[in-house]
Amino acid sequence: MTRGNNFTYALGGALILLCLVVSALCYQHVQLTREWAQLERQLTAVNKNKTIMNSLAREAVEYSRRNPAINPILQSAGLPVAAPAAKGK
Amino acid sequence: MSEGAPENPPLDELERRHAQLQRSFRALQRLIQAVLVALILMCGSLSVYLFRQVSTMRKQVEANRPLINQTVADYNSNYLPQVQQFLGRLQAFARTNADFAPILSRYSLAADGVAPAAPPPSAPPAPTQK
Repeated sequence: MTRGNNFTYALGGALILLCLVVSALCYQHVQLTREWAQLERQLTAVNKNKTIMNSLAREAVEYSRRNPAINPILQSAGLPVAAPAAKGK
Repeated sequence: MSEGAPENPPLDELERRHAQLQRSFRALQRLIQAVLVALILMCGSLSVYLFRQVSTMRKQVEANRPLINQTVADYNSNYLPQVQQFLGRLQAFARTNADFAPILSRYSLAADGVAPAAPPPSAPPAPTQK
């Protein structure tokens, strides 16, 4: 009977150890998931801002067809300057 | 002498009860052990699964962290100052050229580091080079 009790205690101890391992792994998983989400947020924000600025630059280049006065600003930013729109004959 | 005999239960009756209790105890002990073994198997499977997930995710984070940090640092140190300068010039230009102000006002000025900015209401067409 004592041997059976010892086996039960050993099983209980093993279960407690495994529960601790699972808890530690869960904690690590949560931490890594948070870090990954934060990195993704940063990258998304950078890409979004770049997309917006590219759109603005495209519109500014398009605008330069109508008003070449903006050309120095575009050239200073390294943007291509559009040829002025041909006036109707 | 024979008066005390009926008060005590017979010895075989006691032995029978004792054996029955022992059987019940062993059955209960086996049941508890079976439950513990089942729980250990479940926890073991869960820990193996979590270990694999954590390993994969750690590799993913460690492989991408330097790239993303580099991208963000590059954006903040190189791209953003140029953008701020460009936006400043465009704003100055929009003050003297009223027809450019609506174009500029359609874009939220993304000049605050990596803070997300609102997208433009409609994507303008790409300029056609002729």
